[in-house]
Order: sequence, then structure tokens, then C-alpha cells
Amino acid sequence: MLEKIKITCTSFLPPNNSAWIELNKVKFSDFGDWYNFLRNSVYNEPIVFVLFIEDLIYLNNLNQKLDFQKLSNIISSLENRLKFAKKPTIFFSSFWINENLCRSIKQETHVEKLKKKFYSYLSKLSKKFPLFFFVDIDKEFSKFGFSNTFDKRNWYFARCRLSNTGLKVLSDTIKTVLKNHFTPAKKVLVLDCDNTLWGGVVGEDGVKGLKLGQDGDGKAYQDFQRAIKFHQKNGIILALNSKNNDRDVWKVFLNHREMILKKKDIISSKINWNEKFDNLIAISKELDLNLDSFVFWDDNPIEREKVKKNLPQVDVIDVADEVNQWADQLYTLDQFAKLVVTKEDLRKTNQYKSRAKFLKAINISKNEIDYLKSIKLKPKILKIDKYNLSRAEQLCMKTNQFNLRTTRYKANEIQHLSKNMQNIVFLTNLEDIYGNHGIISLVIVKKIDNEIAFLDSFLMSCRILGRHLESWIINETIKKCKQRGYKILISEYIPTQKNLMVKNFTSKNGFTNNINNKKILNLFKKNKKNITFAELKKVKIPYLDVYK
Amino acid sequence: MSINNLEKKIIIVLKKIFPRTKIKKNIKDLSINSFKDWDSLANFNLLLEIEKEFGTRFTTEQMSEIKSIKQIIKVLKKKS
Repeated sequence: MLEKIKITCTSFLPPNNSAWIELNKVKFSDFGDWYNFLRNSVYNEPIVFVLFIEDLIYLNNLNQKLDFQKLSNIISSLENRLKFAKKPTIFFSSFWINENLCRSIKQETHVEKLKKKFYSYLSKLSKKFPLFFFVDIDKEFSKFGFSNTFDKRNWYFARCRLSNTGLKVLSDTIKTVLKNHFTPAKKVLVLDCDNTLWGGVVGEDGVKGLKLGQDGDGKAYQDFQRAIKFHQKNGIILALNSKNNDRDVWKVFLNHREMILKKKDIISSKINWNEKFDNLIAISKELDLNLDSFVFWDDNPIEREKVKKNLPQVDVIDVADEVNQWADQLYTLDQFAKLVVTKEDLRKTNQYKSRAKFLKAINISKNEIDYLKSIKLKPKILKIDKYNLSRAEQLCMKTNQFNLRTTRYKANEIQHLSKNMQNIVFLTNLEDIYGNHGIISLVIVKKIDNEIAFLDSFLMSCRILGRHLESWIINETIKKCKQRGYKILISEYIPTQKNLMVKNFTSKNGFTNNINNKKILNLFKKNKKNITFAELKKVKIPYLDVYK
Repeated sequence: MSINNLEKKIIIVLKKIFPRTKIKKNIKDLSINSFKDWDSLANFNLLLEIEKEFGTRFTTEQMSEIKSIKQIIKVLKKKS
């Protein structure tokens, strides 16, 4: 599942050690070659760089202070590399040195000073380059204790700084960062109610009898709700899935003063006596989000097992036995940790709420066209700039359903494509009476020759589906192609497990002559350009009226 | 731990460290360079894995001295 990665380190990391088993394709640079490696390694594979500050300090002469020059050399080499790198560079750094406590109380040690300066440079790099990730690995080591993760014997015997445990911590951290980078984050948190959001059973104990807010577990349940709220504020959609009486649950939400979560925070709820996996399917339909973006939290192991068995694509959390661990467990959950949070993420709850309203209204309304006209759709085209680049990348990485070719471009690749004036690259923002949906589409058209262009990417977020916005976007794309003087636009559909909905999208919009899933569109009626498989046909785009 | 169990556990470790090599039942005569993959680096990885599996720790000296299954068994027996 993970890509091939290269690892280099200032000291020795033993290749083939059992710690690396879960990172299936790792290659280590030669020991001692780290600096050359950093400067000369190839740009199209992910690299992991591990720095131990102790390796740069002359241990035989502790009085001699490390010159910052050495560290600034590393920074400039890194910066050079990042200008060209097409794959992530992950920089792990450990500044841990076994200092005497009292000696470092009144004054900052030399290493502390270096660390502050060095880390502030690295943070700047990390802001400047989307594919650069800087990890203070000491934070992870300290969870296990430095005396357990470092090992002097391994150092003296094999020039390896770390113990068995330390190697495992390093390997796990690398895995977590890479996995997070290459797989889309989860979108929905589905929660049980009784003994999950609060202690006790509301149907039996009543609202007043619940454990919530009191010292002991009551406080733990409340902190758990705070952790839920934290994720919700960062763009996670909340849903309830509980075997309960609907009324009882909402009574708690409305009347219990210690509740952190409010009714308005919950976007979808299935409170009934059905099987939980059936409810999950219903929630997925209601939100129009795939089950593989769902995380399910339930205190009851039997319910968890049933969901695991019936819906393996749902991420079922192995909940800790004791409630006092839950807030930490949920807060630190990898599934919701995004390396980059965009403005769009922060608005998600509102967007999905307006989407739910939209879906309800369109079901009631009889005439679709009239209805769509009445909601005042306002699409707007945006060029790629540094403010929306990370959103463009996110759309490209995460859009599965309405996506013709599912080519996953990284931010720097999108930037590169858009800088070439022969290509056409744009984003679309949509607003209607239900709110501002933000940037929801990316189109990339590549030049083939002076007369032919290729529709390289055409994708749209699924949360605004049903508005026929695709018609408007393809029309804009065609207009732009004509302006550039292109005569023919070629499209291609690459089937995946999820993008069946766009299979016929281009043929509905006038593209013809299906050859290996490729179709062509003549941009002008009287096109004299001679393509053997070409056929002149009038371009007709349905649903364009809505946007007039 | 009986000798038999001890050897069985060592076989599991050997299989983990040398996935490309066929490990036979009789391991007592194996030592460094018995097969291609068992070089000094693999020896280091092997000893770390033995430590993990048996919850024990070798000294720096033992790390450089132990180079065969016989020696591993001898040290492990002494420790238990």
C-alpha cells in the first residue's frame, strides 16, 4: 500500500531489522552518506531523513560548541532539494541529549538554543513547501521514555542510536506520516449514545441519572465530547447511530446542562432499533458519502464486531476499556489527522447541512429546472494561486466519484501545469441560497498540439451534485479551448471502483467516437481538421439553461 | 523453558530475520555465514530480535561474541 521510500540517517539504522517489516518497501542509503544523499538523491521518490543532533556534536570534546553553520548547511541543501522534489520529504529530528537537570535550570543549554533556531527555520520551510514535513521525533520518543528508546550499547557496538523500541517508534512514526499523506482522511464520525456520549442508559436512568459532568467518569464523558467537538470544528461530520428511543436521546441533547455537543452539531442521526450496520448504510446514503470515509465509535464490543463483519470498509475503532482513556484516544486518532487543514475543511459541517437541506427540497419540488433556477446558482471560475493551491491538491487527491481520469496530482504538479500558458487549469467556486460551497471543482486541459487539446482532469466534489454544475463547467472549458484556438478536445474515461457516475458524462455533452474510452469533441461545427476517426457533430449540452 | 521450546522459539526468530532462507529443524550447527544472508548486520538484527522475543539483554561484549545458535542457546540457558 505504501510507496517505495528511501531512508537516510546521520547515524546507523540497521536495514532488514524487524522494525521495518510494516514499511514494506524501504531502502537505506549507505551509512555515512547522509549529507551527499540529501543533496543528490533523486526527486521522484519519497525520502525520509533522520537527524540525531548528537551525531553532529563532537562527543570527544564536549566543551566545543556546535557551530550553527553545520545546521544551516542542512537547511540550504534541503531547500535546494525541495524546489525540485516531486514526492514528499520527511525530516525527522531528535535534539535529545542527556543533560543534567540542575545545570539546565537557570540557563538555556547550547543545544536548546540551537534547537530553537533550527526548528524555526524548518517550520518556515514546511510552510513554504507543501511536500516538506518536519517531525520533532522526540515528541514520539518521549511517549515511551528516552531511556527506553535510545541505547548506548547499540551505539558503541553498531553506531545505532536507538534501541529495539526506538527503532519501532521511528518506523511507526514514518508509517503514520506516509499513510496520512497518501490515503485520504476520514470524513464522518458515527457515534453511539448510551455509555458512549454519557454514562448510563437514558431510557432507564432518565436524563438526570446519567453520568455526565460529575467528578469521575462524568468528567471523562464530558472530555470525550470535547474531543468530538474538536474534530467537528476541524471539518469532521458527526452522526448518531444508537439503539434507543429517538425522543429520549434528543431530551438529553436539549435538557442536560453538561452536554458539550448540541443538536445542531449532528448532521445525520439514526436512532431506532435497527441493526447498526443497516443504519450506517442509511447514513451513508443520506450524506451521499462512501462508507470508507466513516469512522464508527461504540462502547459495545458486540456491536463493533457486527459492524466490522458486515461493513469491512468502515473504520471501527477498538475503543479503550476505560472511559478515562477515550478523550485522549479520540483526540490523537490518526484517521482524522490531516497534514494540511484547508479553509474548506473548517466549513464542512455547514456545507453538509446545506447539502442535506438541498436534497430534501429537490425531492419535494416538482420541476427540477424551475427549482434549480430558484436557488440562484452562482458559479465562479478561479485561477490557481498560492491561496487555493492546497485546496486544488486536496480536490485532486480526494475526489473519487465525479472524476473522469482520477489522476492524483500533488500541489507542485498542479502549480507546474497551470504555469504553462498552453494548458488550461481552473477551479470553480459555487454559491447558492444554501450557502457558499467553496471551491468544488478542478479542470485541467493539456495541449497536445496547436489544434488538439486533452481533457486531462475533470473532477467535482460530490457534495454539490444534483445541480448539473458539470454542464456549466464543461461549457466554460469548451469556451476557453476555443479562445486558445484549439479545434478538437479529446476526453478520456478511466474506470475505477467509484467513478461509474461519469462513464457517460462526455458522450452526454457531445463527445463522440468512443475509441478505448477516449472520445473526441469538435469545437467548431465546420471543422476542416482531418482526424481519421473524427465525425462532425453539433455540440449540445443539456442543463445549461439553469446557469443562464 | 525446556530446550525444545527454546529451540522452537529461536526457529521462529530465524524465520523472521531470514525470510528468504529455508530454516530446517536442526538449527544447532548454524552460525554466522552458514548461509548468504547471515552476515554481521543480520547477526546484529538477529540478536536484537532474540532479546525482544526472550525479554533479555546482551552486554556489549556478548553482542560481539555471539555468532552461532549454540552460543545463543548457551547464554539464554544461563540467563533463565
